[in-house]
Amino acid sequence: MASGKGMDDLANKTAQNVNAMLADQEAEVLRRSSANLAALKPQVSDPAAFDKLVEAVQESTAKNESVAQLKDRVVKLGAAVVKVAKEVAPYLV
Amino acid sequence: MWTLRRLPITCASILLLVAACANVPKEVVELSYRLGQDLGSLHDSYKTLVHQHFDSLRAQRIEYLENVWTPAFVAAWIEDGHLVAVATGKEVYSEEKSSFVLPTPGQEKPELLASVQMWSESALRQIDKKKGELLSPLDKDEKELVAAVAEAFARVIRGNAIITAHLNSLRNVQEVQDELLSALDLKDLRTTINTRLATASDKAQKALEEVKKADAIVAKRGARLKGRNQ
Repeated sequence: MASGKGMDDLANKTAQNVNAMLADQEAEVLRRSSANLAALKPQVSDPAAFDKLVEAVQESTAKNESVAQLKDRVVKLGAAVVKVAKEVAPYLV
Repeated sequence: MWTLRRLPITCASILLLVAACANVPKEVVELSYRLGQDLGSLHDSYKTLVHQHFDSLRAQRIEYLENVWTPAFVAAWIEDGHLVAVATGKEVYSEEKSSFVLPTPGQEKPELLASVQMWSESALRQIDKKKGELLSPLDKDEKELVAAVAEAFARVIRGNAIITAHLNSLRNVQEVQDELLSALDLKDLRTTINTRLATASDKAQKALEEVKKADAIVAKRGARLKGRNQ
């Protein structure tokens, strides 16, 4: 089976001539059908600043989680804590 | 001994700290969590919109290709590719000579078929090439935009998940505080303080309004006195 290389070269020249003939019309089509990427892309905040905020919040979350374990720690201290605290509490309110 | 002596101070500090905290209702955590889920859905919707937008841009270029470029190319290619001469048996394409020649006697039909096949395949290759030239920049832009949108949504979803986790941690802290207060028979302490703070804030607002009213009266009387003196 023939590869048609020479025929392809001929067809290529024809295509180039057609491109030149339709250049203005094609430019207009390309202009109308182009995407304005700059306007479409989301304008997000600075990644470095975002990461810093994330880090700060995560640190604070970890601290909160540690505080949330306070109950278990207090329970471990024993009933004495509760007794003394109850005596102190009325003076605080 | 050291621990026991300081226990009242420690407990007092804890109580003061916990009682001063604001309320974090469980609905806040749930709202934040649901927001995260909705963001995923918004992302899907945004992706669909991007694809639809690019499909419509592609359609404009395909319309140009099919209705303008291809007819112009085929018309020129019929001429440049000697199609009429080949179809009427006057010429065939010789690959060895890379040009159109007279058919070989006795081989007219196979040579004609080979020439027409080469002609049509070359035409299809050019049309495909043109299609690629017209559409590949759009495909590239679409890919880039979808990636940028995905990255932005991923960041927002991640940020929201971190906020949800933080709110949840506040909830956990509050639950511990409530349990501790309850154990000390001070279950309503937080509510009492919050209610009092809210009341104080309302009173401050009312006082501010009164001050504003008084200012207006003073300004009015001042203007009247000024008028009399002139």
